[in-house]
Amino acid sequence: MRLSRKLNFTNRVSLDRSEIEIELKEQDGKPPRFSARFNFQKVLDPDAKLYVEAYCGDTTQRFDFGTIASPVAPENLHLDHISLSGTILFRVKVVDTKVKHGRLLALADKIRPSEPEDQLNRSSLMTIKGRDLGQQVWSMEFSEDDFPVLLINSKIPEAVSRLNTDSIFIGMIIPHALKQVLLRILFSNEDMLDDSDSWQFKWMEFVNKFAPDERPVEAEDFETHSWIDSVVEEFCERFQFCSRLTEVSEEQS
Amino acid sequence: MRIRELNAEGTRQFKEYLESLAEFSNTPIPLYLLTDPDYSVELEFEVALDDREFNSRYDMASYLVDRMRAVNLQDYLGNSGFWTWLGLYWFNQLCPADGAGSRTPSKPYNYILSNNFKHQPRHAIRTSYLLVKNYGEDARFLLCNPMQTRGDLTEQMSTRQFFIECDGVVRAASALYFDKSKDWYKTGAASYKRKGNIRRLISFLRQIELTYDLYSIHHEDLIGMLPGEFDAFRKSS
Repeated sequence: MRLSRKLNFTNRVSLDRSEIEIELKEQDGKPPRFSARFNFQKVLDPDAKLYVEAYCGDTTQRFDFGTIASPVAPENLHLDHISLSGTILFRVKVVDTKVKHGRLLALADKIRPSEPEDQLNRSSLMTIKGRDLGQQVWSMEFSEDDFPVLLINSKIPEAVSRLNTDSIFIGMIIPHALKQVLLRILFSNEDMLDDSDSWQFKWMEFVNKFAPDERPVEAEDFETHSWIDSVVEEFCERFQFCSRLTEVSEEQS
Repeated sequence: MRIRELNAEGTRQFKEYLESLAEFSNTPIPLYLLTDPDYSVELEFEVALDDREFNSRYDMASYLVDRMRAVNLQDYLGNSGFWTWLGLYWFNQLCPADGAGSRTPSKPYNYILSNNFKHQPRHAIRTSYLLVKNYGEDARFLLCNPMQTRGDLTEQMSTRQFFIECDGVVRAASALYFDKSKDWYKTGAASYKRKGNIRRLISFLRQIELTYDLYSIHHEDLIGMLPGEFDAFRKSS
């Protein structure tokens, strides 16, 4: 018999994101370090064990936070045993040690850590992060479960904030980032559009607000490419990227 | 020979050697890298290895665990030069030459410890060492193959990297699938068709990881939770 991965046979409590606050801090030359704060609103066994797991791809690093009654952060909170090549997410586990050892009493999964940069990303469809990208100026990072991440090379001074304020940065990067997102959705993740909770669905909702034409359904690849180009063109038109860039360039010259 | 650590140039040359085998498969192993101070450096501790042949990765890792007993290796677990030196030292056994003297290596990260955490579990020496250090005899079912073979059970258990970090999971799989009298895994353990084979165990683990914390669960509890299709393996455990 195949078990559904969505059934909950053991009355496991689903922890609300508002009960957990995880912050991730990038550190120069060191692996990032996180901190976690808990404000559990549900009744949980005080003797149950509390674990936080950071994961990226199929690599996991686990941290023992003691018990529900007295959570204690371990000394080392550096993410020094997982891959840092993708989106880092967290899960919080509350584990039974009395009745059925190892049973999950409560769980919160796919927790996105907040970062100092998150103020710029609030209510955004795309997270912006600084990262050492070698000689690449920027790149995109995609996962099936989480919003796209626009990575900007952290060697560039104030790179992240300039993506919000510097018309040159914005005009040169954002339209192409939009194009990459649409290519990803329509050529790799189209089936996710059936799920209204998915980031892919939310992006298409956003895009449909200004797309000049309806997206061609069951179209040939060239028709989809052409529609994406028209969306990006309209997006640039609305935000006047070229005019703004020209103004700034003239002011600087 | 005293264990050393390959430096960046030594590691680069070893990698170049591995790549060169695709075209020139008879190229001699660059063993000079092991001792030449231009390519390798001494470690803080002094441990020597005998020149010996192993029947399995388990035997190799047991030997290494024994030799390292007095050393705190915690700081060396991520030291690429150290594990890569060992990969080169035992390369002749990890990638033996055929009758014509040709070698066909696996991906470089099997011998050179990668900085990519996704690839680190593929390192032949480091992973074997950690399995034996953590699980002792219970790691034998994963490492009973000859030195040059990773083994089907290891492949399956590593489909989710963290499974081999879960004490209860490894010990349960050992109890289910290893036949101590044969020093080999039980018939059907790696089969695609036999009920209760290792692929079915992996599938079961993926289901229960939503209701159980696999790091915490005890191996006897896990064996007790397995459905009837595992009876044949469970009864003989």
